[in-house]
Amino acid sequence: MMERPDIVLELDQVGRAFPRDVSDIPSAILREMLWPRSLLNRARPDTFPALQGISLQLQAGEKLGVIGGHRSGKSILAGIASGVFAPTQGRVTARGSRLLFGRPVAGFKLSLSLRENLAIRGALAGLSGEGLLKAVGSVLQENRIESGVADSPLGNLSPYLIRKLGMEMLLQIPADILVIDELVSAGAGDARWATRAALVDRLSRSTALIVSTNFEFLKEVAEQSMVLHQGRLYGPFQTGLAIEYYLGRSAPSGADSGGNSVPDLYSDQINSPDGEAEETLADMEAEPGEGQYPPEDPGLSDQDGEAFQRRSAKQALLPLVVATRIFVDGEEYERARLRLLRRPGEVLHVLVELLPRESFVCTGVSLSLHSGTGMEVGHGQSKVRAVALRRGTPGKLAFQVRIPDLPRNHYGLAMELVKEGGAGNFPGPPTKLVVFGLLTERPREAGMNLDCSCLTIESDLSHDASDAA
Amino acid sequence: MKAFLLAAWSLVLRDYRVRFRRTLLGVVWFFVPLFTLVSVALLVGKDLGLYPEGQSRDYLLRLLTGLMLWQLFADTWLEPMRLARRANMLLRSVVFDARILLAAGAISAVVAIALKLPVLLAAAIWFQAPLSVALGWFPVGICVLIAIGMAMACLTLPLSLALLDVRYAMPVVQYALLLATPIFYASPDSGPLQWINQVNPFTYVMVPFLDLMTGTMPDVTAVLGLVVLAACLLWLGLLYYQAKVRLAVAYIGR
Repeated sequence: MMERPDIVLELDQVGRAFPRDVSDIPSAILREMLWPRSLLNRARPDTFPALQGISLQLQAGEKLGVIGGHRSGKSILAGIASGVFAPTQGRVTARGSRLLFGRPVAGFKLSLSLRENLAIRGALAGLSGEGLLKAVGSVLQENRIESGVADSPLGNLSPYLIRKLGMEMLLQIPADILVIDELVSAGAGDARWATRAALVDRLSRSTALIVSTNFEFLKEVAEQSMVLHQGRLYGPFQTGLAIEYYLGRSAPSGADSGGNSVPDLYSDQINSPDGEAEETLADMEAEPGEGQYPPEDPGLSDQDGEAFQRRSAKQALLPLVVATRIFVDGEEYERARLRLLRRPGEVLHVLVELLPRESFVCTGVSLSLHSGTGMEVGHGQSKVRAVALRRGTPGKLAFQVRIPDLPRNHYGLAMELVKEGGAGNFPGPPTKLVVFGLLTERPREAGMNLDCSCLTIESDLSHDASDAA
Repeated sequence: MKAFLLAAWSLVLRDYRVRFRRTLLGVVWFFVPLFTLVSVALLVGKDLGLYPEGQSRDYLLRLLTGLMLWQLFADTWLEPMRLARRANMLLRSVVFDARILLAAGAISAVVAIALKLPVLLAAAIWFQAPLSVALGWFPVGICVLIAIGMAMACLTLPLSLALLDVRYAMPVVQYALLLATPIFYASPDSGPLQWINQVNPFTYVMVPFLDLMTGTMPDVTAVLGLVVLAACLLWLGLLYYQAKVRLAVAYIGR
């Protein structure tokens, strides 16, 4: 850890799991509170990973952005990086003091005076004596707050002004590493620009991890950014590219002009398989000739920095395998229509025609079930005899899954192929398969474990791992 | 260290200001529970057999001492939880050493006992309590109770942040322990109450310091054992607290 002296913040395989339902599963909380941390590493059916396998390093003076959607784990990541939260897995190492730059009025009491509120924030951050007086005085002076107003209850002031003053107090607190959680400006009207400019000025002299969805701000202050998607971090990429792929926009020009969106398990409709297949095939055209396995990442041979970044970003955000056709109970599944309705206990017979995006030996399949809100509500894993899958060569996967007893809702089934010697298809996201509606009268919420059986997988190329060897 | 103590003191002051800002009596409210309990115990104590005829003076001094020491212990234990609850957004949003909460709880408890101490001294002078060397153990008793209270806070604060059951149960548990400890009464020689007193570990923490005001010397070996036990408990508690409190903070507001 932290062998390089220029690394000031390092997150090493950090993860944070939460109980699936805080109110209904107190035993999971109790376990977290009572068990030693070494026993909390294992995934359990009553917990879901808000963050998993997060690794990043921040050099002194570096500004790194993190982009992510709603419920992707941004605030948890910011909290863990700053030390406000602790991870359940992995390790966070910081060389120097950290300041979480978010919620500028957290802890402010309306019944206390402005001066008292600012002072308590500064005191908790480690300021004392002259330093504290100077910081509070500076904030009051710059905003031309008279002492009568500063010593009267906070409730008499405008919420915009309170927020601005809170942010300016944060700017006065010295820290070696800034972790910004969405806060880039505060106040009303032109004051927003003033606080933004002050923050940019502070950032120019700091090491910072900037978790934000304010893309203009990110472009201005961070050369590189990472994309946080479903609790996993991808990158770093050039900030512009990270934003581009986060937004799902097509590349402006060049060979990688295919339209790709960040995979979204939360949406009701699943991405078009045709689009994914076309993209994968377009990538394959630029690959080495057949008859030998191509390198894991063909982009590695690309000397052009931007093209390499573009390709890396795109590939990191695509599933490892593309499902070209899906058959459910013998009928072809139409992704654009939610016509599958099932009851708990029924069995879905699923056959998936696959198109691998890279060559690897598959030793199992991990299935996950997601609710309409995107939360993982079920998980199951099955092993198969090792099968070599080759990039661009179609394969087939067949399995049965018993539908658990869950509340009436729409659910999405996704899969990850397990690589030999690895867990899941990291770094890619899961491949979405089917969405079905669940008809249930009295849900018992008992189905955290997916009952998966009759798993077979085969490749049109080979039937045994020895071929790969 | 200076910044640490200043932060803890700032939390205490903030809490006092918020609590007493719109009150007429202000810090007088600190005395209300103490006076209420003492008055009730004196009024009904004789009929209940809590003290024999003609010994109300000794009983009052013993009761005052016991309740103040118990309040010190209970405040050191429970005050960090109250502070954490009232500063929950600070915990979620500000990077600070979470041990500040424990220190703030202890400071708050010491301030509370410092405010009540004149009452005890006045009672001792009024009733002409003997001035003996036993009173020299009083600071030791205060330190032991603060250490054990902090250790209990270490063990329960993370749980109370994550599980609301713990927070709801704490006041009940505290009163149950108060009644199970021989403060309002002398421990009987037999019966279920004696068994409860023997099982309750806080009996052994409180009893050595209860009779100090009446000039009774505590058992030195027992007190030294308590000091060592309190130090060990505090050390273990701090280990647990440091490992779990920032995990528990993530549950605030969920």
